[in-house]
Amino acid sequence: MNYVWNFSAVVPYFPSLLRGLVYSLELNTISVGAGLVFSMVIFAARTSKSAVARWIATAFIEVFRGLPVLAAMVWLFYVLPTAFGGLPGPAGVACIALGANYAALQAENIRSGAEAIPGEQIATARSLGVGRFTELTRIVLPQAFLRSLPAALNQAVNSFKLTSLASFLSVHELFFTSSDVIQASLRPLEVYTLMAALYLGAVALGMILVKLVQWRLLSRFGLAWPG
Amino acid sequence: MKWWRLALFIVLAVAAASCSGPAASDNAQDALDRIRAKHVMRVGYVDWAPCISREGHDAPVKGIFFDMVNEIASRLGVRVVWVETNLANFATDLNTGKIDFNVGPTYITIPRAAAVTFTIPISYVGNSGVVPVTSALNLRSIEDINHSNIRVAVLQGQAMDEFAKVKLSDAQLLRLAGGDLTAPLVAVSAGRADIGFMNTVTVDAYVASHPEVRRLLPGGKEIEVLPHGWATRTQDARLHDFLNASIEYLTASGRVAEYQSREPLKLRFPATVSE
Repeated sequence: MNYVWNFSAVVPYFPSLLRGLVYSLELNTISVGAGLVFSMVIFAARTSKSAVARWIATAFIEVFRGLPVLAAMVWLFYVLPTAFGGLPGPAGVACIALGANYAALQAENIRSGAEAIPGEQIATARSLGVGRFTELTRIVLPQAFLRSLPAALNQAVNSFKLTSLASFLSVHELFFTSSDVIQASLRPLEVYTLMAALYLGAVALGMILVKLVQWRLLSRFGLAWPG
Repeated sequence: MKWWRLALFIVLAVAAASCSGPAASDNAQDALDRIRAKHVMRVGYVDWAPCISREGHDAPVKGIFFDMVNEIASRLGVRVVWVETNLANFATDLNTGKIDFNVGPTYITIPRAAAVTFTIPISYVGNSGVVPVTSALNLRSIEDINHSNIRVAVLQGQAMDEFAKVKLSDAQLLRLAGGDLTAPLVAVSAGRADIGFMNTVTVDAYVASHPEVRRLLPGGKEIEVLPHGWATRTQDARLHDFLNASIEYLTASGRVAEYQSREPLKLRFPATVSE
């Protein structure tokens, strides 16, 4: 290796990298928030009595769970405006692709959580004349959601790492900003190292939060989670 | 929490590497000496016909620059290893020693020349743009498109990216990343941008197969004509001089013209620019 390191040359660009990191976090918060809500809708459709709703939910899960996020982003970015006119900008498309991927994975997590609910609870509710909607919203979803929370939080951290793919769509998140800083500073390895440290720091903080939430929910609801 | 220990180890290792500095022997050795000692020449390239291209991962590399480098390598008695790179990363690949030199094709621009050393110009290529065929835009001066309601697509790191950042400060810039040179043009076809900028050869090839777009500038006009050069690290003065002499020999002996005659797309070489 014959590279001469010089971190002082990239210090002036650190605020730009931090702004990129904040943008990545915003992108992930919106994607995960929307994905979380949508995953419950998908789960409800998947367990619906309507065959059409079940089919649509299954198709959604299979498409967005199977499609690489970058492929989904690029496809949505170029095809959406061609098919429907204006529609979302680059950041909007990135949020849709990330959110759809998150929703598809989380819907499956909720389904796993629902399968762990004792069958007696459902049978009792039905024998008492509880309606389908109430059964779903008051009995199944709250418990299934809680049981799926550890996986959901881990998936949220993974989703943060995937935000770097939005750089392909001209979204000024951390990876894109790093490329710009490299062009301006001409110090590639220093910028890549700082970028990696920022990603790692954010992920580490995220993982600590995940553990805290898991511990809090465990002590509050007494649920036993794997891992 | 074992991953925490791993993360800490990585951070400490990087810090140690940055403090230790480079090995003196590596720094002292010119890339030309290394090539001759190892009998291997690692050459970076950006996929772009007719200069250099590869149609698939297993397909052979071909093009005018491919022929030039092979000729140089055979005279030097070394083997060529081709390494694909992109416009945003070629300087990094050079400065980290991943490649000995980069044939691009890369425009010689002032910001790039601050990071790497370029050979004498090998060819000249202009830049142009596409607009939707229905667009009423007619470019008389660059100010005509420097408006906040105009969306301009460029490729991050390409010469027109630098041009747009300086000259189109009021326009909405869509700066796409990656190695696909047609990305800004596809953005116009998809309705993502009003104008997409790229080199003229790529623009002309794209327009020929996409009836939904037309050239921004009619009659073969171009926005900027820039020289192409091969890039070396600034420290590799001997390799730089060697490549300059080789390029002059291949051009003067008619070999470059011979290589070009095999390609359907034509470049402008130094001898033809003043004509």
